Amino acid sequence: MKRLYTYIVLLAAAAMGLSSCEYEFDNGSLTKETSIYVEGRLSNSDTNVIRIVKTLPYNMKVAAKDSAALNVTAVSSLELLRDGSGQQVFYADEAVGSVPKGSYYTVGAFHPGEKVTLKAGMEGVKKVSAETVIPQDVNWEYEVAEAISEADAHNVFHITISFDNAPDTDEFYGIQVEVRSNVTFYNEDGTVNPYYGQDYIYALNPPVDDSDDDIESIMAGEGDSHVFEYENIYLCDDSSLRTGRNTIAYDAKLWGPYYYFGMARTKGGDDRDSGKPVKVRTLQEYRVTLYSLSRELYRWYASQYNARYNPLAELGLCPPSFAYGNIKNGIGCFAGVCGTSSGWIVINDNWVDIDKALYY
Amino acid sequence: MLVLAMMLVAYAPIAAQNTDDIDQLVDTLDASTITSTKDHFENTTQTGLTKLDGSKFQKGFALFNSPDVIKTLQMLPGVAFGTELLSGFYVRGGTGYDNLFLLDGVPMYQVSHLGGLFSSFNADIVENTDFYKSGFPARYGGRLSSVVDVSTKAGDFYKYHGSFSIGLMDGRLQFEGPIIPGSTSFNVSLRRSWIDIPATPVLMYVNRWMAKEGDNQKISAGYNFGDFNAGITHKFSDYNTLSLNFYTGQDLFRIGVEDWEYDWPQNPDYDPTYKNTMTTGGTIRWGNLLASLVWKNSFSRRLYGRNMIYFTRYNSSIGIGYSDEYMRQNEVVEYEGTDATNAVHIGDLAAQSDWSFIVSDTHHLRFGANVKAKQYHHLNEIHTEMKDFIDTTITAKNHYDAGEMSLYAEDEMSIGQRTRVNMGLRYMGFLSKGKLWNMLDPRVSVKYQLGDNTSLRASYSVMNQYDHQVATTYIDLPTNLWMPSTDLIGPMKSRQAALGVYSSAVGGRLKWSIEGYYKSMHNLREYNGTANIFPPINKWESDFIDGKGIAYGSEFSVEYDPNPNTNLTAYYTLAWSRRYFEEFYYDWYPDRCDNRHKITLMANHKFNDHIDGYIGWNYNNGNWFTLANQKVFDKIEHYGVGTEWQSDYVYVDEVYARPNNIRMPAYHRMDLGVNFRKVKKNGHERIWNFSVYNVYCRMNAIMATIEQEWDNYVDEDGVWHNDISGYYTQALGVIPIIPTFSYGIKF
Repeated sequence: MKRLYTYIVLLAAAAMGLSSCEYEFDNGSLTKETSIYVEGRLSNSDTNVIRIVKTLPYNMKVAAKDSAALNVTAVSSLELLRDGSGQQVFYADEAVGSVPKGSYYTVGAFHPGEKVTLKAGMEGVKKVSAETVIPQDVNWEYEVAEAISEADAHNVFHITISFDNAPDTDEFYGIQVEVRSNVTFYNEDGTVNPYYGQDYIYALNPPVDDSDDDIESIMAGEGDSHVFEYENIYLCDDSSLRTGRNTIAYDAKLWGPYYYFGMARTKGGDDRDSGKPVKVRTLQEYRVTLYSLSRELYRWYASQYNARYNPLAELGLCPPSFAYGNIKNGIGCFAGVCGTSSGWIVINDNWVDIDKALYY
Repeated sequence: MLVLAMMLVAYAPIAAQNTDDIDQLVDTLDASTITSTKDHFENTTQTGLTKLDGSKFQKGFALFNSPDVIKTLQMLPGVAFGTELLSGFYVRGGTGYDNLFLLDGVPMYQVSHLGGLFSSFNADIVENTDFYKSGFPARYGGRLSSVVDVSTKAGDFYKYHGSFSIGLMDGRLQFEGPIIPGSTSFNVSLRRSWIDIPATPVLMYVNRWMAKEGDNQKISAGYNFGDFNAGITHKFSDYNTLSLNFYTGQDLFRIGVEDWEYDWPQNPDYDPTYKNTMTTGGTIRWGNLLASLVWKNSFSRRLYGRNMIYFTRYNSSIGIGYSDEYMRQNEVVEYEGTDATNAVHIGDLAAQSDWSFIVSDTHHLRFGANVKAKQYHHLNEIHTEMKDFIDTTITAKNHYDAGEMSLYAEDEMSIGQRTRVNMGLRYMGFLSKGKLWNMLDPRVSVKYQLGDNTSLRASYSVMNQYDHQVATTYIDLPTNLWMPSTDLIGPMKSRQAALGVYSSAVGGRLKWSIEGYYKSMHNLREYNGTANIFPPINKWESDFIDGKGIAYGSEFSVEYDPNPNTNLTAYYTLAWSRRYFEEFYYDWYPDRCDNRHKITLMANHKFNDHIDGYIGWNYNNGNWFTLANQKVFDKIEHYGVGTEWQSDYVYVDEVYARPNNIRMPAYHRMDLGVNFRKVKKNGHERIWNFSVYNVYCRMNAIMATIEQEWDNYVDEDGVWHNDISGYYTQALGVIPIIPTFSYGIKF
C-alpha cells in the first residue's frame, strides 16, 4: 500500500509539472501604440493643473538619460473652453508652487455648473478631446463629538459630517480627513534637535455611513464596501444615501506619537552629530475636506481602485477594470470637482520622553 | 379558458397513430404533407436550429469517459467556449448566462459540475437535443441567446437493459425496463465522480510526510459530484402518456486544515500542557433538483396537448470556518472562532400547458401558457465567538418572491408551394418587488424553397430575460447569484435577425448551410467591483453596471456521409462581438469571446463491428484580454548623488487605451478517440474507450502578461542605471495532453 501511495504522489507531481507552461507570443503592433494621456482635476481652487503627456509605446526602451524623449509634453494645439469661451492655459517650464514642471495650468477657480472642454493635439498621435461639468458645491457641516487621548494606545475621536444630498440627480462624494502631526524633537537644553522633526500627514480609517455595517464588507474586506478609498479620499456615490440630509460618522483611530517618531527618524536630515533628543512633541491636527465629484472623476477613481485590488481581472477571470477614461482618442481623465475644507484643527499636543517614544 | 375553447373547437375522433407521428406533428408540421422523416434539416422553418440525437454524443470525444452535451454543443458554429475545458457557452456574442437549458421541458439554472469541466446532462439517457441560436419559436422565452432543449429517453416498455462504464474520473450506470410490460416503464441513470477516492490516500501520504518532517499540520480535502435521473412513463394508449421525471445533481467540496503548536521548552515559563490549535475549513455544496409530471395526449388528429407541472431549484451553500484555541491544563483559556455561511437559492414552481392544433392544410397553430411562482433567496452570515465575550452574528440576506406568466401563440403557415412562415408572439409578465414588467417578444421565421433540396430562410426574434446571473468571475461558481429584475434593474433584451441558405445533396448524405446574423443586446450587466468571489447581496443592483452588446457574423456548416460508416463534419464561423459599457470605456470594445474565426473539423468512422474511431480538430482566434500596452513617464530619481552608490532610476506608469486590447494566441487542439467493442456470448457489449485530448499538447493560453526586461549597468561615470530595455508578451497555458480510457458494458 505504501508503494501505491508513492506512485500516486509521483503521478500527481508529474501531472502538475507537465500541466503548465509559459511561452512568448507576438502581439503584433499592439505595443507600438502611443497616444495622448491627460490628467486634469478642475476644481474651485485658484490654480488647476492639467497634465498632458505623450504615452510611450510599450516596446520603447526607457533610460533615465533619455528624459527628454520620455516626457514629451509639447502640444501642437491646445484649447480649453469654459461654457464655450476660451480659457488661457499656461505651461510650467519649472515647478511653480503646486504646479509640477512640464504641466499645464490655469489661474482662477472654476465655478459649479461650468462645462469645460479640452482639445489637445500632439505630433504623431490622434488629437484628443474631453469635457466635464464642474459639480455643485455641497452644503455641509461637521462636528467633533469626542476626543480621547490614550497615551499608551490609540487616540480615538469621532467626527460627524452632515450634508444635503440633492434629489433626482446622481451625486458623487469624496471625504478626506487628514491628520498632520507636527513632530519636534528637543535636546536636553530645550533646543530643537535639527536631525529630527518633520511634519507628516496621515489619513484615518474609512468612514461608515449611519446605516448598519453590512456583511459583505466584512467577508470581502474593503473591496466590497460601498465606500472605497483612493489616494486617501473616501469615495461613495449616492445610491445608498437618502435624499436630503445625510450624516456620515467617523470612528477614527490615530496612531500614537511613537509612530511618528519612527517616521521622523527615517526621513530625517543628514546632521547626525546634533546630539540625542530627550523629548518629543507631537502636535496633532486634522483637516476635513468634503468633495463633490463629477461623474467622470468618480468613475476614474473607482476604476483605479478596482484595478489596484483586482487580481481576478489580471488572471482574466472576471471583467476588466481600470479601463475607464473620458479622453476621446486618448487615455486619462479630465474631470471636475468641488471641494470645501475645514482648515487645520488641533486635536492634542503630546509631550513624550524620547525613551518612552522609543519603547512604543 | 383559451386552451379549453381551442380543445372544444378542435375535438374530433382520433385515429390510431404511433408516437413518432405525434412527434412529427409537434415538431415539423408541414400541413400538406406529414412526412415520416426524422430529418429536420430541410423541413424546419427555423434558422439557427441544430438537432442532435443522443447517439451523436456517444460518438464524439469523451473527456475522462464522459460524453458531454455542452462540450458537443461548444463545437458548433456560433458557440464560443471561453476558458478551456470549462462549460462556457457564449452563443453569438452572448453573456454565457443567457441560455435557456431545459431538461424534459424543465428549466435548469446551473448546468455544470466542477466549475464547468463536466455538464449536468448525463449523455446516457439523452434522447435528443434541440439547440436554437436564432429563429426562436414563440414557445421558448426567458433567455437572450440560445435554447438547449434536452429530452431524455423513456424506458423500454418490453425488456430490461442498461449500461455501465467506469473511467478515470467517474462511473456511470443506466438501467431501464418495464414496470408493467407494454404500458409502464422506468429509466434511471446514475453518475458519480470518484476523484475523492484516490485523493484520500494522497492526502494521507502528505500528512504523514509532514508529520515526519515535524510540521504540525494536517490537511483533509475531497470533491465529488453526482447526478441521478429517473423517469417513469405510463402509456394509457399510444397517444396518451403520463410521465414523472426527476433529476438531482450535486457537487460537494470540502477542505480542512489544522495547525497546532506547543510551548517552547526554552521558554522560561514553559508549560507542557499548552497547546494552540488553529483550524480552517470549509464545505461547499451546490446542485439542482428538478421534478415534473407531464401528460401528453393527442386529443385528435388535429389537436395535441402537453400539460405539465414542475419544480426546479438550484441551491448552493458555502460554509467556511476558522478557530483559534489556546489550552492549558486541559482547559480552554482563550478561544476565537468565526463561521461564515453563504447560501443561494432559486426555485420555480410552475404549471405549463402547450398545445398544437392543425387548423387547416395551411395553418398549424401552437399556443400555450406558463405560470410560475419564483423564489430567490440569498443569505450571508458571519458568526463570531470569543471566550468571555458575547457571540455576534452579522446577517445579510435578501429574498424576492416573484411571479411570471407567459402566453404564446405561433402559427406555422404555408403560403403557396414554396413558402412557409412561422409567426409568433410571446407575452411575459414578470412581477417582482412590486414592479410588473411586461414584455412582448415577436418572432417570425420564413422559409422559401429554392429547389427540391435547397431553402432560403430568414428570421427575426426578440427575446427578454428577467433572471440575472450576478457573478463576479467568468467561472461557473456556486457563489454566483440569480437575481430577478427589480424596480431598478430592467430585463435584458436582445433582437436578432438571421438569414441563411440550407441545402442537401447526394441523396441527403451531404448537407450544408450558411447563415448570417445580426444581434443586439441591451441591459447587459457586468460586475464593476473588485476581487471578490462573493458577489454583493445587498448592493448588487449598483455594483453591476449596465451596458449593451452587438454580435454579427456568418456560420458555415457541412456534413457528409460518404458511406454508412463514415461521417465527416466541418464548421466555420466568422464572427464579431462587441460591448459597450460606458463605465468601462467611452466607446465599443471587443467582447472577451470575440473570436473572429472558428473552425471545427470532425470525422467518425466505423472500421468494423469491433472498432470505431473519432478525430476532431478545433481552431479559433484567441480570447481578448486586458493588458497595459502603453507607458506614461512618471519621474526620474537620482539616489545617492555624489556617492559611490549613485544610481538613476526612471519610473513609468503602465496604462492601456481600452479594455480587451490584446488577443491571446490562437486556440487549437486535436482530439482522438477509439472504441473497441465486443459482443460477448451472453449478448452484452463490452466497450473499451481510449481517448486523447489535445493530442499534440498545444498549451493553449488561458491568460497573458506583458513583461518588461531590465538592463542594469554601471556607466563610465560609475553611476548605476536601471533601464527598461525591452518587453515580451507571455501566455500561460495549463491544459496539456490528456489521455483517458474507460471500460463499459451494455447489457
